[in-house]
Amino acid sequence: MISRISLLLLLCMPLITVAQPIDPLDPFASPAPFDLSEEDKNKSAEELVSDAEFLLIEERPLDARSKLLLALEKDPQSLEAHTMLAAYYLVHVGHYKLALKHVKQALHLFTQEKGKPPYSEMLTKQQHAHMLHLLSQTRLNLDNYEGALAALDEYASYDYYQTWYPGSRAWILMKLGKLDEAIGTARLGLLAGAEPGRTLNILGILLSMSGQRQASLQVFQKAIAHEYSLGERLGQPATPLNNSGEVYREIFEEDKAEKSWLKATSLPDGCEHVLPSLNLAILMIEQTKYQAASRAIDSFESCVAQFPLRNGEEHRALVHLARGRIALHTGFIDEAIEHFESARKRQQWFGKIGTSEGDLRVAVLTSLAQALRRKNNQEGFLHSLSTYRSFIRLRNRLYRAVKAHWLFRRATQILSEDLNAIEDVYVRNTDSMLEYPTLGQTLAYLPTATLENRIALERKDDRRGNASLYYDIYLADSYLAHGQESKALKLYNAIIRQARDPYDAALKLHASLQLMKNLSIQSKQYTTLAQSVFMQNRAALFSYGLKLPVNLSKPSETSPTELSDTAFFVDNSSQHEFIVSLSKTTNEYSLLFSSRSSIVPSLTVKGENFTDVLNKFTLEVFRQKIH
Amino acid sequence: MKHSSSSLSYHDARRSFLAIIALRALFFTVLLFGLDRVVDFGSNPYLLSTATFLGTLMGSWIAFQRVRLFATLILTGTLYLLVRGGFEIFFQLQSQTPQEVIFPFAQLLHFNLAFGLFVLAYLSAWIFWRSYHAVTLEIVCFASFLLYLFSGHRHFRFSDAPKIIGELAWLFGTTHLTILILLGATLALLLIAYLTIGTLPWKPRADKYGKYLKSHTQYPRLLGGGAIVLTFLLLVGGISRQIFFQYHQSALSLGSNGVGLSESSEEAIGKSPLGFHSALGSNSQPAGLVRLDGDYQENPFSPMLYLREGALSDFNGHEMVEAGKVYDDDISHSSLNTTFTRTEDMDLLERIPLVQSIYLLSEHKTAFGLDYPVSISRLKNPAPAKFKAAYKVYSLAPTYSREELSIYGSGDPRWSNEKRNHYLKTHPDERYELLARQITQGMTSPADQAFALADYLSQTSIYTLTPNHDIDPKEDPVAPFLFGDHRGYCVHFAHATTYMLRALGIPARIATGYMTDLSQAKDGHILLRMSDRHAWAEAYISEKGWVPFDTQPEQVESHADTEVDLKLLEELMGLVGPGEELFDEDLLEGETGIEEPTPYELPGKELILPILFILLVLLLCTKLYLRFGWLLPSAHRRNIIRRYRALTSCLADLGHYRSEGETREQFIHRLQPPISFDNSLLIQALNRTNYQQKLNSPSSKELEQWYTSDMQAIHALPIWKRAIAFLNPASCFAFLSGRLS
Repeated sequence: MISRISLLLLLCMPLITVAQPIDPLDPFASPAPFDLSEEDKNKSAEELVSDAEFLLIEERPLDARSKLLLALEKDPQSLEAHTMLAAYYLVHVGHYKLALKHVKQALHLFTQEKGKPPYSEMLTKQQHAHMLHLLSQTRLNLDNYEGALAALDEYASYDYYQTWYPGSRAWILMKLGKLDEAIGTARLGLLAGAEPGRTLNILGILLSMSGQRQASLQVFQKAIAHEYSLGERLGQPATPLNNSGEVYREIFEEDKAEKSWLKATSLPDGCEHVLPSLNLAILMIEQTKYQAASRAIDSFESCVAQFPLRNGEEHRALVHLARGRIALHTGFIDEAIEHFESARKRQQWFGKIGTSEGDLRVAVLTSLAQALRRKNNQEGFLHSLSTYRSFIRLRNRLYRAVKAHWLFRRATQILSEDLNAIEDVYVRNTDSMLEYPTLGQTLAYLPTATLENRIALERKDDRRGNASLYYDIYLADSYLAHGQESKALKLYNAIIRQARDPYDAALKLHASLQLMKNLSIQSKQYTTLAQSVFMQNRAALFSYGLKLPVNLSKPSETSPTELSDTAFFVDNSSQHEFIVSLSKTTNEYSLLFSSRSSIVPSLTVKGENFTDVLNKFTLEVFRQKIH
Repeated sequence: MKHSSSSLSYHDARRSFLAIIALRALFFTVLLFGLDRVVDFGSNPYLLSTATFLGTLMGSWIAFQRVRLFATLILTGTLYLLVRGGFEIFFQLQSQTPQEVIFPFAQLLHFNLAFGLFVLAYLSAWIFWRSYHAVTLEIVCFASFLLYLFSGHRHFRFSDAPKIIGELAWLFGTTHLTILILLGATLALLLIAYLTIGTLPWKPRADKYGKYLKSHTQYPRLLGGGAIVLTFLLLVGGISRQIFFQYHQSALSLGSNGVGLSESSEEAIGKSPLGFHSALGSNSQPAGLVRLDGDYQENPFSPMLYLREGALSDFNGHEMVEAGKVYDDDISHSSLNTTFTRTEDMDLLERIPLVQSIYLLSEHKTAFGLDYPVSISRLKNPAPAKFKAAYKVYSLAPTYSREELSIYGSGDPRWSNEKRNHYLKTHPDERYELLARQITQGMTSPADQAFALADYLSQTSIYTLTPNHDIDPKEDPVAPFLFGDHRGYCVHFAHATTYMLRALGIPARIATGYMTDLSQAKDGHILLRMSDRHAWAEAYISEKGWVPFDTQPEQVESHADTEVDLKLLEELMGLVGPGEELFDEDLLEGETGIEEPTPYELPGKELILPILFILLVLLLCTKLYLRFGWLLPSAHRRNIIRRYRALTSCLADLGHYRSEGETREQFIHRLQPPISFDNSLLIQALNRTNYQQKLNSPSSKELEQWYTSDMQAIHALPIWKRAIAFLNPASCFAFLSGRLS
């Protein structure tokens, strides 16, 4: 949208440039043979700027950029070249510092040439207004919200007006935390004929942030209808669709949220933006539909691959986060750790997408800490092939335990200090990228009394019935971590009973696993829960350090004892759904996993070394394959 | 080593004691600030440094007291529990806002960390003074930590953590290996220096009664010690130098995916820059910056971009080697200082002109560029401190699609028979042909066959940087890969594809250079790293020229890829972009969000002034206490000491100190003139109190008279001298360092 406006305005601009002769004595200025820019070198700066305009229309940004830089070489005072380069670096590249330099230089040259504002000529006014707009947008992208607002104030002070103005102003006011003023600006703008699509979208976000969710949904519907009315080429309905999906998720209308995001990702303007795909993936993870989550990210990546010249820095961290979460839940912990570490290294500019760097950091740190713990849990069930490897494994486990503790500590610290006294405890906060079903593991780092007080305050204002289960599980996780088992178990049982299927599947899974940690492995409830969990997610038990009760077919006295030290609880005293069969020939061990009612496919692992076979068998059984 | 239990002189011991405490505190502070960059403590490093400093001070002081360690630990633990209890009370309070609820918890996190560091510094300082072996233990721990920290770089994996190696290499414009060796040598020397200081003869050591002890012999063996240190220095320097020269070339080659740098035409003939055994490292060292001066949306290999540097088209019976200009005339083979031009080949179809500006960040011998360069001209180096060279390439870049290649034959009809045979020289091992025919069964188009071979290898190969095939140097290095375990890297893939293509009668060769991912570019700027070095197979398709047929293995055992450092890329873009002369000075003054926030900001003016004020007040209080402390109610003996201290503090402010070994009486007599004491009665009173019977101690009235009498001598001085002396803080520092005794 910004690019279209910039381009239209740029085309309206007069071309005032002065050509400078080439220095014939500069050894580097002489044209090389076959140099493509030979022709350009004879052109004036004005002609080059004119060429660049057409190249931008033809969507050849690099050609345009080269022409503009050449124009500046010829005439460093070229106002148009500076302005167009500012727009180019702002819109096409995302190099905001350079954009700011060019726009400020352009403004400086403009004032030198035209004198101080206000101006009387229409064209001069348009040019000045355009530059102030660029300045405001650039500062916004550099997270300088006060500066961006100051530029807009200056813009308004000369009675300039364009239809984008109310929307931009409202957005900046929102970033400055002036929510009521922002809503007022957007509403007033709509009445005054502001660009409906963008302004409605921003108004919808503002209303949602102020708790008026139904009103915000109505506004988003209007925004979507408006974008569709602009037709396939000009309309951009994916943004309001994504935002309405976020509100639906927030009010626990998951089906509608899913539909919105599916629609958004299927649209041309939606597939190249990460948020609808990411939101869809998170929703699917909450429903333990990992294959669908993976598909959402795959579609996004294949779509974004169509734009190879634009650096995808702003989405890389988010994609790594989503991929890591999928890997984490499906038992591929090493892969998950790699993704989270990559996400950690990524820096983002969040000015445009309404969230903060802290949100992403907390999400990555908590996920990484969980992954490290789960890796330790998994390794606890694997046998070492030698004493040396046992030592290395012990060292690695110790390292992971310390690192996980530190990461959880940092996450709670950022939540407490940088994210407005844990504002993300509000379930499904639209800004947040946290995984809500397992957030309790992070919040357990707070003292129980503090968490109880904080949740009590949140509950006072939160009237969403379905959110209650999530607050309960945070408390339950905290009770469990601080030795109040009976309180925790009571809450877990209640959560398992009340969780909605499939929308709270991940919540129920986590509650079941936490409950199982405190049940006797021989109890009937443990067995029932274990089977149900295993059916839902084959990796979960293994990752939480819990065993799956199985029958061992044809046990004999010669059966190796290592089997009972793995993630299987061998119990032939009662009949279980799953059976492990062990057979041995002269040189080969063979382990077969099967189920009585054939609800899971059988699998066999063979090999010469029993310990090796057992490890491979465990890893194979407890992996949720999604491809 | 001979140990002696005789005491050090008090002043020597005290000086060493204070110097070592200051050094330890400084070391801890630097370490903390460094670690904060790695682990992100989340608490103010100044707070943590203060806690560490206090811990060091406390541990050192306690070590020389007759207090048992466990007693102090119990006391510290109790203190912690009391503070923690205070926090617990806050946690239980019902608050009205989330901020009020969370605030105590956030403070507790900072407190816990600061307290933990305090205890750590406390214990380490205590052990340092009490145990003779503490220095050795500390050095072992620190050396192990350093080994662990830098172990990520083993086997030339320079892209791994800690990132500081790469940052320093970039800052000083050198290689990762150089920085690693320099850093290692510096740290080794620092450890030696610490060991030396920690075991110097004048380092005091405390025993369980808190006495000062000597660590070593009475007299420092300067000659012997110096010789040992010098030997160490030579050893460390020699080893470092040797390591550098031995591994420098290996690091460049192995760290660049086994694809070394091509040499200029004549020197390269008959040689190969490729290595088969392993490409141990993945080196993120920046190699160059490529700026596309135009759009290249028609790139048939999108998002990948192949930048060709050299070609290996001659088979020497063992591997592919360079054949030189005579055959591979499409390669520029030009050095970085020469201009290259050629007539455009009009028979090559579907190509567009594309200009690239290339700025080299590491040493290269030949120029490289996109596909078919028509001209290469030198560019003005925009930043000689960073870039080794800069040049502009005008290439004719391909725009064909995979599908349309199928209708073309192979080879160039203009070639002589000799040249055709050169590109078709096959490997004697028949298995290559058998496998190639098996894979391409039923296919007739050379391009289809080439794609089939590349696809086959992509599906069956396992990408690993360490195939470690155990073969004789004279044997075929590709066979163990293709007919063996399928584990290899680009060098193996390129050779295997070339051999099989030639076996099918398709002219083929290996190209070397860089392969980069355009999706990691910004504004058409691509940062090339040594890990982007690549070798790939090419076949000559009629009317299209040399076309890459590269293997993209689906199974990856070791990752050669690392993410591009976008901050560095932006920095370089700033260097090659429009210069600062285009912009007015102070253009961005007052703008925020431009610079990265500095991680450690020193306290601002608003803090410095109160701190200075507090220090001033403290000094004043100390001075008042020294001068008039005797007015405070106290025991008789204490009163005498305080009056004596008031006298000596006045003298210290006037610039007179008691020398070492000097008695109090000698000191007073030395001062006459300019200060004339009648009888130094106060000193007599002090000596009597200290060394004689309590009964001989003067009465309060006598004491008052003697004090007044002694102070008369000072009051006799001119008033301006006394006024300046009162403003002089010397007595406070003398008091703190124990020189007012």
